[in-house]
Amino acid sequence: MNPRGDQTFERCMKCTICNDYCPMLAVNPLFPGPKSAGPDGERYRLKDGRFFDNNLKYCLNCKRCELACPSGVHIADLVQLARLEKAPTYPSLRNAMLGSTDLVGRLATTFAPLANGALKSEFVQDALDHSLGVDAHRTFPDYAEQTFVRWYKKEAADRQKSYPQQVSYFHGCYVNYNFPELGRDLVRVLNAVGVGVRLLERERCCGVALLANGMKKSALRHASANLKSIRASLAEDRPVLLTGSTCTLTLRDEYPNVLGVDNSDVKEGITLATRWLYEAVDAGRIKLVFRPDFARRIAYHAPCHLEKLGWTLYSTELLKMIPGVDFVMLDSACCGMAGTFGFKKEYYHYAQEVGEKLFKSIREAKPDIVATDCETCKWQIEMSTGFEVAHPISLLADALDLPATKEANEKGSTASS
Amino acid sequence: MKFDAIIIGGGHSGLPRATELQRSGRRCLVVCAGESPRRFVEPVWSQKEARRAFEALGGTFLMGDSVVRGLFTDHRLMAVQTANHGRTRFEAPLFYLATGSFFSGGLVATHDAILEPVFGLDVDYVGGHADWVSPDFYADQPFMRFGVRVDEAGHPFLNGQPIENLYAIGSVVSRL
Repeated sequence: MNPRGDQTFERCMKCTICNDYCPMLAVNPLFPGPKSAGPDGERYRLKDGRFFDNNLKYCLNCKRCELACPSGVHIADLVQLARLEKAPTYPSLRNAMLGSTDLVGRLATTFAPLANGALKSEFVQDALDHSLGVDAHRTFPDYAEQTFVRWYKKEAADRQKSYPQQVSYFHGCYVNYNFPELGRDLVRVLNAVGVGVRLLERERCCGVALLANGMKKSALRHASANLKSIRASLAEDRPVLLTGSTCTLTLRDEYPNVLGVDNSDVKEGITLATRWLYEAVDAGRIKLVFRPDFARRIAYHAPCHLEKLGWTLYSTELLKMIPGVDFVMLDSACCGMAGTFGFKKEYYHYAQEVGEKLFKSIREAKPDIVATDCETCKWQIEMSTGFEVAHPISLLADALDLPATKEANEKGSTASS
Repeated sequence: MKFDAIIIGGGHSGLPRATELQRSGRRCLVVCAGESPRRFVEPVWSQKEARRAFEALGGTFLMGDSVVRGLFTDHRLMAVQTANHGRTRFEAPLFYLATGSFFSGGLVATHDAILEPVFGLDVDYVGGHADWVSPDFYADQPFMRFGVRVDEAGHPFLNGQPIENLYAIGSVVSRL
């Protein structure tokens, strides 16, 4: 399971295919590339930690090298581990702030109007740029005035138990603090197909931002709290659904491969909402009734971590089910944002250069809207192209005739019972 | 999830066959364990372009995934399951095995046998370990001819029985 434990890096045959797939290497000659940073470097680092190359900081952890590797080497995991264990510097105040998404989110949503206004003012942006190194070009995502959890407890929690089937929703920091609309859309869609949405006993940030910013200990605490809640949910037959592709990859793969936390007993119960919905429709367990007047040209961008999960097809097949959709599949390419990477002043221009290929293909596709499962891809694409970006679940919520769907599923469940 | 054809292996045999089928109007799924390791003789961009052409026709390409199980009924392959998709079944009336030879893992040599690791299909090979390799590096190497046994139509065998909706193509096939 651990990329060191099973020595998979020894299977590297030096073919350099990973380097060809690396989006960072293509724009940044300072980055040694996945082959040198991963399996080659690992041999040296095992001898002596002083062989750690500080330019590993440029790795986006997009995992595209791992996807392409014909020998199954966990290249990006090796780089992540090396950065966590061998990087000589302590995290800076900025990295601690960017990494602690739930702590900062809690603060910012409490003072949302103030925080949103401040983050848009030139003065604050310049101050962040000079004092902390958060690039002034970057547009910050808005913070919500009411968190998803608060809305859920006030408006939705009571009626969820009345549905014949239940799932748990791991909303993640983004839905809770920045974009509760997505969580509300998921509740609307699942409720319409007769599924109640519950929250986990206790949810912490999945920890991906902590890992990217060198805070392994906090990430470990988050992992054990989350797995405890996930185990409790599965024990009551509630699968855990997510809307964020990166949170999903973190809970399923980064926990064992990077943090060394065993999740093999619950891994199969952690799934993406789009996958769960697609499979339920495919198996005939639920029915979707679409509005006749929904017509959109949708360009789909496959986020790197969804590609690594291999689950892109569930989101795209779900969108293709909508009758009025003119579907365009964009060539799979990294947007460059890589979570908190693109916020950092010293990396900002690399993020934009990496994403340029994707931005160009979006401009050429001329869609009405771009769809993607990743929140940070959404920020990056909206800021860099001006196109609106929506999650497949939100598009589904728009395209569905919710009352008719509700009726069809109620009829279906009484007919079968 | 249902397809008209599922092709296991996205290399020089699998991808052209998948593209041909997709062009003829069949919905195809390609499961590709990784980029073709023949980078040494062929630039990787040709592989990227071939994948792009297949996807532009509407084909589905699973990169970095591998088939871990085949579900058989009466000498027919009904569905496959992959490493990334857990219990999800990928069903099709037609399957192709295009996983290549030893280098890409389509064939595996142990100390006393040559195996086909995806389904455990019958493999043609001769002699014991010592007979597989010629000590003369430049000589015709016997192991290069080993591969899964196929009937005249190209169906491989499982426990002596041909699988009627599965075809083996490319270098995974025996040339003995």
